[in-house]
This record gives sequence, C-alpha cells and structure tokens, in this order.
Amino acid sequence: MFLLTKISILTFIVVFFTFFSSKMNGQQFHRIKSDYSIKYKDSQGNQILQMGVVFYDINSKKIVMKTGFPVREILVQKDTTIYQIRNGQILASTRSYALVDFSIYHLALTGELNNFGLDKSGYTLDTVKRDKGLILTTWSPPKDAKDFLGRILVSTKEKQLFGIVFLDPKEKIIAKHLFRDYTNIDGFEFPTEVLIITYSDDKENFNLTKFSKIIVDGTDNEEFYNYKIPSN
Amino acid sequence: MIKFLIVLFLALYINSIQAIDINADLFSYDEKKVESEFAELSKLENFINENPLVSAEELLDLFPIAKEITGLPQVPLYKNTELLAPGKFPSFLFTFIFSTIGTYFIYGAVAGPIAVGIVYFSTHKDRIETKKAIWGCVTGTLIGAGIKLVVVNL
Repeated sequence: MFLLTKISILTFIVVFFTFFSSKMNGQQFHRIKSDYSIKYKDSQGNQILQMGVVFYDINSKKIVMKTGFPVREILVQKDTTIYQIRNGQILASTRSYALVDFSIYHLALTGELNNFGLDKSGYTLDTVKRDKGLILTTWSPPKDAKDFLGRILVSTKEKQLFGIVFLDPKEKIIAKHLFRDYTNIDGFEFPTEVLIITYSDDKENFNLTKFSKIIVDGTDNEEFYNYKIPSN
Repeated sequence: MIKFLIVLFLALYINSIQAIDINADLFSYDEKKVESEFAELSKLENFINENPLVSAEELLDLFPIAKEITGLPQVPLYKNTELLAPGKFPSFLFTFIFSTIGTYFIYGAVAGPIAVGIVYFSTHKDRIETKKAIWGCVTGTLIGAGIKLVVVNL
C-alpha cells in the first residue's frame, strides 16, 4: 500500500514536471487562427490589399487562408505549392519558394521564431553582439550556396524576434523584416504586425501584414485547420 | 610567396570593405514613410472592417483606389463567390430549392430554415453565405407558396 502511494506520488510528480517543462519550452501549442490583412505597395505605386482569416495546424502543415477581400476564395499552401480554390474547386496552383516549416506560424508554434529557424536551415551562426538594447547575430549560408545566398542578420529584443536583414552575396541589403507589437496569449507570443521592406534598384517596396483576433489551440473550424484540398 | 601574401592581403582587404558591420541601426526604418505609403489602403481596410457587408459597387464609388487593387478587376466575383456551399451548391440555390419544395409539399415550410441552418454551419457561420441562404429561403418560400395557392384554387 505504501509502495503504491509512493508510485502514485512519483507518477504525479513526473507527469506534472513533464507538463510543466513542455509549457516552459513553448512546445504545447499546435494551432493558430487569426484575422489578417496584407497591405502592399511597390515603388511604382502598385497596391494590394488582402483581408481574411488564416488557419495553421502544426500537424496538417497547411497554411489555409480564407480570404474575404478582394475575392472570396481559399488559398492553401502545402509543402511548396499554393492552391487557389474557389467554389470548392482548384482554380490555379503556383509554386512557393517559402517553406511551410519556416512560416511565421510554424516557427511561433514550435517556439523557434526568435532565430527564425535559421539554426535548422543550414545557416551557421557567426557572431553575436549587443547594441542599443538589441541582441544581434549574423548567420552565414552554407559554403556551397555562398555564390547566390548572402548573410542574414537577426536581432532580438527581450528574447523576441525584432528584425531580420537579408544581404545578397555582395553584402547589399535586399530585404528587412520587422516584427512588431507582440501579443501574449497564455504564454504564446506572436507579433501582430510584420513589416517587410524589399529593395530593388535602390527603391523600396513595402508589405505590412497585420494579425488580429488571434486564437491559439482553438477547437472550432476543424475543417479549415485540416482543409481537404479538392481533387477537381 | 610574396605574391601569394599580396593576393591574400588584397582578398582580406576587399572582404573587409564589403562586409557590413552589424549594428542596431540596420534594423531601423522610417515609420512615417510606411504610414504615408499605406494611407489609402488603411482607409479602405478600416472601412471594410466597419462595413463587412458593403457591396462591391458601393466600395468602388467610395474608394476609387479599389479599382486599382490587384484582384478587383474581378469585382463581380467579390462576395458572389461561394465559399463552402454544401455539396458545391451555391448557397442561394441550395435553400431556394429546399424551401420551394418544402413549402409546396409541407405546410409550415420547415425545409427552408433547415437548409439555412445547414449553410450556416457548413460555411462556419459565414455571414455572406448565410445572407444568400436566407434570401434563397425567402424567395423559395414565396414561390412555393404561390405555386401551391394557384394549384389549390384551380
């Protein structure tokens, strides 16, 4: 009887600490839903506004965007393919060079957003320094990719990803990503604004994505988290 | 050997010129410029958020910029696209058929409201699809009742 009580207490402690440590590691989150808007304006004055709701489940690994403006449709990114779906049928599919595993949703849910997943991307950490309240790190591309990939500079502020600067192989800035106004939902930290500035011919193009009404680990909308791509 | 050292020195020197020294200023940007670049789009975004059921025509009247936005040449599709209609049926048609038949054969026409409920839940409470479904139900009920009235009085 005493042994059983001891085992029960031990089991409780193990379960408690396993649960607690998983919470501390930020590994407990598995899905996110958020309203979003994307505003884009390039140096030639072309403008885009897209609004809708985005769903991402870490197990299904599909970014599902239910857009409401300017066209009601569903955009799904699975692996490196983006499907454009209207009226329940695939209208078009295009290739994406951004991997789902390196999307802001996946990295935030796995707790890897603070270095943008670079430690698992083949990039190597070069230097670390502190400047004006930011921790700055530089990352070098794999040796065999140095001809076409430049260094990546990452800054964090209070352990949150603050910005990323992408350089080309000639050390010229090609893009800046700024992560602003973090929100904390039961320990899940997520930026509510992502500003991307890209440079082409020394001119700036702006892209601002805003997130609102963020729900983590929601139980509604199962069909969107695990969206079935129509076979047409 | 000397030649090699000169080449090595030059290579290191050139590299040192090219390499950007990382500092916090690299992560700065002109916030006012960003705001002014997005001024028009922000107004449009706020309007849509405050008026989610606005028609495309009204939007184009109020915001000429809407015409320039990529995607809007396809304006007829805006809010006319079915999102997740049950069985790929348009929401209006789905409830219209149910309520017409329901009203003709069953007094009380419960089929229409049930169909609206199906659309409501299958589209995950999508307001626009539900609105279309309600219109389909109302139209179907009136037509079903009209046909019934004519047939009964013949």
